[in-house]
Amino acid sequence: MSICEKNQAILDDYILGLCDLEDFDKSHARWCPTCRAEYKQSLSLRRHLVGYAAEMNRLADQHPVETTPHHYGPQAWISIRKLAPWAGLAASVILAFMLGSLYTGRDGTTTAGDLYLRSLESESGRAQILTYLGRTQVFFLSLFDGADKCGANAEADRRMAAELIFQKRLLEPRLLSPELEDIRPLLDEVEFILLDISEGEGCLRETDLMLWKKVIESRSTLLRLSLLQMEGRI
Amino acid sequence: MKAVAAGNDEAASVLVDLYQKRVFTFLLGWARNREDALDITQDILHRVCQKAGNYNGQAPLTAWIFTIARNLYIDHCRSKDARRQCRTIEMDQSIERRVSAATNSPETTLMGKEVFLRVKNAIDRLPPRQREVVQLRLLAELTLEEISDTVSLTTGGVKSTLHNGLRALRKELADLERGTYVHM
Repeated sequence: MSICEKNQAILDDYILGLCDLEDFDKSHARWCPTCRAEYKQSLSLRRHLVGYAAEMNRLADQHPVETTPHHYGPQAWISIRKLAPWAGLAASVILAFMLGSLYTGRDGTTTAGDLYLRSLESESGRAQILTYLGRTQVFFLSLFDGADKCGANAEADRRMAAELIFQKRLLEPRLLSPELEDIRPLLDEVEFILLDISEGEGCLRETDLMLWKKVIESRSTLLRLSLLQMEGRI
Repeated sequence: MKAVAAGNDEAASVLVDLYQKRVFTFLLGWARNREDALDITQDILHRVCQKAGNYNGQAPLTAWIFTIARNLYIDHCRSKDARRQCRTIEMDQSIERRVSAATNSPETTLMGKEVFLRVKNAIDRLPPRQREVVQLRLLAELTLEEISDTVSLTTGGVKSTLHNGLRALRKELADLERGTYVHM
């Protein structure tokens, strides 16, 4: 691939927001009229496409979709309830299987998942849930401390969100007990937000951070997490 | 998603809050008709909640939701009443009025109305597949992998479709580059 072709591919990715211009060969473009022209046109096109997307977003904001609460799946609810004891048993078997497969270790390295699984063995169920609530709360608080997050910061946040989802799934069998039943809806809500954070790539943009913050604030998620920890019910 | 399938309304409303704007913005670019976009968005979110139990976690949730969005929109366009609207090239008047109102407001706007309409029309004139992936990238902000899962193309196929779309947009919007200051 020639330098011009490489530059062209970088510019295309830049226009689509897939990379920045760090790898663009500017020294080559200084004397190459084709690359120089492409560079100039790409900056312009990027600006216009970003402007177009922002304008469409503004139009969407002007006319928000009406959201009325629905009860989406009563039949599924009944069947899940009936299956709950079996689901608990199945989840325990899966957990045991996962513990076994993780401890056998493919390459001998210790992952965050390994450490968490080891801590699960030593902690009581109550402590595990409290630890999870605390970690989730701290994660949300740290997430909203600035504008766009890029590079290693964004990656770290995504990894943490994915890890919290993993941890929540491991805790699910414990949440099937009747006295903890009312905690599940909150943790299910939290899981959606974590899922949205963990997906995607590149920077965590301010617009996304604002959306998550809005969803968390509108549901008083942080307050509810704090109350659960203080109630002493877990 | 198990919680939504099990009838947890709170979980369903979190799902709706997280995805409604992205789906609506995507459809706003695709449907060319604001009312249609609104109706279909509501249908999509309702359908997503109904089908939540089918989500198996193999594909990213975003891709799964946009696959439903895309299929519902295609179904909508196939219906007799909508066929004409989906084919029309003209810009929906209600969107044009809204852009006009927005650009005349004291609020800071990112681009002028004329430029916005030029860009929108250029995107609308792309072949359907190119237009679809460009909109999924620009408006719905899906990653290449998510677009690949949504439109059933390989990641390489998505990239080459996006690049072909860009080539067409470069040609169509070449005259807009005037005034771009370049320093190297």
